[in-house]
Amino acid sequence: MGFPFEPATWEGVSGPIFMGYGSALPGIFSVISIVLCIGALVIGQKAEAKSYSKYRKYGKSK
Amino acid sequence: MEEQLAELAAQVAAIETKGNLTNTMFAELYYYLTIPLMIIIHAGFLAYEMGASRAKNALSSGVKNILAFAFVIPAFYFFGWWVYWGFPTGLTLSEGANGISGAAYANAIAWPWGESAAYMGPNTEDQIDGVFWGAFALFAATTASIMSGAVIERIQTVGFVICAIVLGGFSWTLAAAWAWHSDGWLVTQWGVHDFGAAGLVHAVAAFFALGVLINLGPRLGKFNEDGTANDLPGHNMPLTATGLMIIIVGFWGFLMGCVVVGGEAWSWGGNYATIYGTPTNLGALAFNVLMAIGGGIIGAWVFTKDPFWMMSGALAGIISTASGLDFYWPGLAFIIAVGAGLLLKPAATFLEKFGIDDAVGAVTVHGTCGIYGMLVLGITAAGYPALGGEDAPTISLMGQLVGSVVFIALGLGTGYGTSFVLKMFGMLRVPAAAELAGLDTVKVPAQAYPEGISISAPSATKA
Repeated sequence: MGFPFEPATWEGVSGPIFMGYGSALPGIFSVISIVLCIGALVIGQKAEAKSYSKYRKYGKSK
Repeated sequence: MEEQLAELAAQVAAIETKGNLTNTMFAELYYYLTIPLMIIIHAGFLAYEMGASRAKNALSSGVKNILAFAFVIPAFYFFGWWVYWGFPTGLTLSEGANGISGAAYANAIAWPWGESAAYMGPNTEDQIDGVFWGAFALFAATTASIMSGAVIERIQTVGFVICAIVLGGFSWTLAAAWAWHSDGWLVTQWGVHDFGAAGLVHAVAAFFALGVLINLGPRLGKFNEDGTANDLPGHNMPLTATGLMIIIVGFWGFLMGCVVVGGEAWSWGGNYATIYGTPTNLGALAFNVLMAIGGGIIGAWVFTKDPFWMMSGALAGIISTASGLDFYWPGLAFIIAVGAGLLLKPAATFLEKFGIDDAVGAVTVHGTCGIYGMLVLGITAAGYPALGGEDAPTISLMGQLVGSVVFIALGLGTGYGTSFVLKMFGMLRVPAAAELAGLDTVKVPAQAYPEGISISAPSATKA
């Protein structure tokens, strides 16, 4: 990602200091994080449905 | 002489600079400390819910609670913070009188992308947004934990997490925008005062839970055919009671986070204030919270003699006084809290008459007592300014009533709607056979008590 200041020193640097500041990267990372959350829920739901499947055979779900 | 004066002026300027920096660092540290203190609330809820579950569901309840925390935090980062700053004036997303609300303002400071990313990540020139966001994120997670206990032992995990995201990211945040923010329409138009969030956190979360409970239905075996209720005791009362005490420890951080530190550009003047800019200090919390805890326990003890309800009474005492903890007289706080403690068991029994199975009494403790506290403040503090500054709206019973109705409708509506959609997709309730077998057996790859719950090993024989 590269250090966004010239020269490569923290001397005199103030304000936003996170990686990718001033570029599209923070937004891209945020969107990837949202996708990860949604993906985890989808995978979790599939695993949960699978764990319930054998119990649906002899029990009535409300 | 002139040289000496110039030197003195330079020294004064240097002292002032150091003083300002110290104040800024104190303010940042103040909110930073509320975060671990509020995480203690979640440690308490974790213990409380696992203890209140039957042994066959203990770990499943824990998994649910842990996941609520894990998903609500990023949800609040991605959109909850934006909701708080965007919606204070209502659904129009317009800017309020203080100029710190509306879509344009929220776009500028609360999205984790674009220019506003500067306020949503490490920034050496911004020593408030990160810690203030952190405190609010923990308020959000607390709402999810409040709902979590009510629905244990029969809700699906992912369905519950989706409910938690809606509650923590949207429902309570909207209530906070309307009734906590200084541009909030409930504050500016109705004089709603809810310092410690009895309504906008506790009642919203509780009525959200009620909306979910209506669609979720009771646990198998809770009600008999004639409508009478059976007790389904949890497997570990000591863990539950201790969990409740831990929650109460954490609530000191929650209430600390409701106070605005003075002396900063974003402060209400040079001293502590409420989020409304009205006067208070930490001493007010010390007096009133402690008296409310005592009152709530005593009130609950009178009717129940049950440690579960006594510790719930302590929580009810805090919640019932939360709206006015900033300026109640401690004796009055005590009386209100005793009332909340007395109210607990009858209110919980009343709810059961409608076939609602609230496993831990969350709707009663947080909802009934939250609304009770809102209304009591409307009576006892009528005429007090609800906001700082000139021509402030005043607190009134009508204003507190309007606020309460809005909180109930917001919580109940979004909770019912979300759970209704989940139910349509088969994502709300576990199958009956799975519920009977126990959710730990069905979906948790670990055992709560692999060696059983046995008596302790014999002690070493004395020589």
